[in-house]
Amino acid sequence: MNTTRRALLGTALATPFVKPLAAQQREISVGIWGGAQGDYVKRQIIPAFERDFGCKVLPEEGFTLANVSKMRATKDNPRFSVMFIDDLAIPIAKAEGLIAELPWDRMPAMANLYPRFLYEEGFGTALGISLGGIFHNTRVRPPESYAELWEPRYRGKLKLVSPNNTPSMFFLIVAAAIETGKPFAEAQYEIDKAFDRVAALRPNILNIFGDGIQAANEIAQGQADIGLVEYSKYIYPYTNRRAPVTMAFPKEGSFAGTNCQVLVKNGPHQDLAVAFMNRMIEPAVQKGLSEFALTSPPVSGITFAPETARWIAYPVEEMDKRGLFTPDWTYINARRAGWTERLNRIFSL
Amino acid sequence: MSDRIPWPLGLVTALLLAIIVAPLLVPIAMSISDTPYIVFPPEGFTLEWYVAVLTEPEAQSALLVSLKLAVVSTIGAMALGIPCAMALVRLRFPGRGLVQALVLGPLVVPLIVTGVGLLQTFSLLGLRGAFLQMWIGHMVVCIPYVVRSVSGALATADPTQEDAARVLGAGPVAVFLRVIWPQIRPGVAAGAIFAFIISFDDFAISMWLADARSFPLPLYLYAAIQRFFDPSIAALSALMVFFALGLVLLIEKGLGIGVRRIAS
Amino acid sequence: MEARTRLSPALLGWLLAGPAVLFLLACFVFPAAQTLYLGIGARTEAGVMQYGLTIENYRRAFATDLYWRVLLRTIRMATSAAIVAAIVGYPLAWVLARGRPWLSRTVTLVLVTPLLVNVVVRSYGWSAILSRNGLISWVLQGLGWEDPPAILYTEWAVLIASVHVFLPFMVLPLAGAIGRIPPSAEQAATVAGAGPAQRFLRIILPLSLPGLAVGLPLVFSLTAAAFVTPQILGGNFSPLLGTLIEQQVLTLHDWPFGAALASLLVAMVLLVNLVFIGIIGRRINRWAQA
Repeated sequence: MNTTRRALLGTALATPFVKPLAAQQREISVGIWGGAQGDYVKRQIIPAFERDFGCKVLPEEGFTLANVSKMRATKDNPRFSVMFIDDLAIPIAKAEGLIAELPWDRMPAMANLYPRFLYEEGFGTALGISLGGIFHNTRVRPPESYAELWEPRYRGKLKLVSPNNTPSMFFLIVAAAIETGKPFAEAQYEIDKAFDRVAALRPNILNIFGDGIQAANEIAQGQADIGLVEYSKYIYPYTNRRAPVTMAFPKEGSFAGTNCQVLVKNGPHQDLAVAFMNRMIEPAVQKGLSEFALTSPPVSGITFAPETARWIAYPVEEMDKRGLFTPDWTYINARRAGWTERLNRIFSL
Repeated sequence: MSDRIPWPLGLVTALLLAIIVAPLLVPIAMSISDTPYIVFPPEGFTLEWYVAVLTEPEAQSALLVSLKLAVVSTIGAMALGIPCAMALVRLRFPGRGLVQALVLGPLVVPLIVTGVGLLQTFSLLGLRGAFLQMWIGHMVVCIPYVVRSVSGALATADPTQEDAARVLGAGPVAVFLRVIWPQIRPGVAAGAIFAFIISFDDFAISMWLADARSFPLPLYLYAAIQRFFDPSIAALSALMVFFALGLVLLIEKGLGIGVRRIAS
Repeated sequence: MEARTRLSPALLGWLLAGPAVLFLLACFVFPAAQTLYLGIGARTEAGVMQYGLTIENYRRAFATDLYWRVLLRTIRMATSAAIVAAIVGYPLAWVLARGRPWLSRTVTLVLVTPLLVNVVVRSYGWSAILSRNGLISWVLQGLGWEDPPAILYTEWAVLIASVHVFLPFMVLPLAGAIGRIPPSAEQAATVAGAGPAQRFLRIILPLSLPGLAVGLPLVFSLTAAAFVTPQILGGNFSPLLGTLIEQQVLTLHDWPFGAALASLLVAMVLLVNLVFIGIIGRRINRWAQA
């Protein structure tokens, strides 16, 4: 594989203005995640799929936030066939006509998909769910309740997630829940009342981080005590390798961080794309992916060994027991720009 | 003609160089740590992270892509930039002010705007081939550095020598090679070094245009950090520095005396 | 031969600049304009882009104090970085231009190294030096300052880190200019009794202006366009406009508003640059005539 890649590069370099000859086999581009999930997709799932279907799958490991923008920029002449994006971006992609409805009849693995992990009446499925909570240095005792984080003893000891990242919306929901005393499901509609509470946290915040992995490292090295809010998929790989950092889930509940796949409208080779998406949610593939990346599968009927089960919330009854909360993204998307502006004003002026 | 450096200046220089290097020593120290995640100060000593990086085929091919890209982008930017700088400094032609602003453009327009715009344009034209796309993109962002550096050198070059050569019957090519080139060489070398490094280190443009076949090193590094931040990332960074420094030396050598000196 | 040397400056100018101009028009102006046009050609509702002429994006950018205050901070930060880089850069440039070959080479290599280290990786280094329990605090405590303030996650850290990586863009052009000053000029000044300060002000500074005309705009523009450093080292407490543009495009999917902010940044930075270059260019001419 490496030699062909190099040969192709050589061709591209030697004859820059001639397109490399079209490969004999059919080819699709898939915009995947980075991180452990992406690694597993690239090294395990794709090679097997290529063997079974006699095709070539080009995984484009991108800057995760950029995947929606890439679809938008190539809308008139799509380059991607399948794209991995966050659950909250699916309504946007659908409204702009960037994605196509999934054909149920050609995706038998959909039978096992939990209904809650099918989006926008069939425009995307989840691929893996990770848990949103706080992460802390293991020598620190984590708080029982999110409300404790406002106490003066945490002065300068917290790292807060940047408004650039989805978990920052989780943080706003937490602040609204503390402010109103209501559960997340109701508090999410009262975020507008929570900004004084948000501003009150400022003295406790050491910095606002954009990269969960870097923040996890810095917490592990003792730069701060606690980080909020982040996905378990960024933290547990470190816990697993005995770095002194782990997750905690205060009593108010935890959040579902859901990674999804969508079918690009008019993307090349739709039949292959659909087969690939079906493969992604087959039980055997999901089991391997979940064990490697420590995320929960969105499909039923998988059994995990205890060493995996301790890191994930599965099956769906376990998610409910742990109060795994998925926000009303349509409501939040419509207001996110305004809230982001208010967050910027609180922390950045 | 090297002057003796007065001692206060020597002291200031040494101090500044130490400050520049200091924050870079931390990642290098982290790269030898014998722990499965990064720590500072390092614990234990191992070179296995370097071995891991050097034997990883994806890292190798990413390095290869980045090197090729940096070389062709530098050459392209110089081919377009040097004549442009000569026109801007030596000739008064209509529209000169506009050209001046145009060649500064890629420097002042946020890279995210240029990157998205290029992806849209290439998609519109149906131009495939990530390497070619990145080559074009990198040339765009490298040209301002070449033009500015060469302009700076030309502004200090002595136009009367050119006139003298012309009066003596030298053609434009001879004037360029014999009179102008020796004077602007330091500026050309600086421009080439800037262009090479800007391309070799680019993330913001490549992020939009790369594909699985042409995946440059800065993107690989970013992806590796997202996967797991172990000391191999620090090792990779250290290797990037050594590679690129070697190439900077080559550019200096290749352009003769290099940045430090005017032609004698 | 005759004919070629008689080419009018206008024609020759366009022949030389033409290829670069055409390339940039096709591969830079068109793509960038296509994106920046969205600032007046579309607006975003709930993350969904809708086309149609509007001034709403610009109205919002001007009406919200957040954006113009961050724009002013961006200009302030970029100006500071350019000035600090010039101050720090002169001694290095002088050593680079006048020192022995091994010394020049060492200075060049050390200068460009920071550019080659990924910003995330580099930030671990700064963290070890600038944080509350970092090197600087430790030294200050040793000197008797009980609770020195942390520099990490402040605007200072952004300034320091920007100068650190953009310094070569100042020093190399300066060194090129200083290298062209005949050492005899400095020697003559010394013989005439000028001290180091006077030699610098009378000889080196005016004769190295062309180098400054390269370095100042480069450092200024690069700092003004930075978006990662303010996030990582400034702790996001003092973002520059580039950070907010990136946030609009990548997080909020609001290309039109991002485009409006970007065009304000472009206009501002281009203006400052052309003024810089214009003023220095006039100085150089005045000196050349004198």
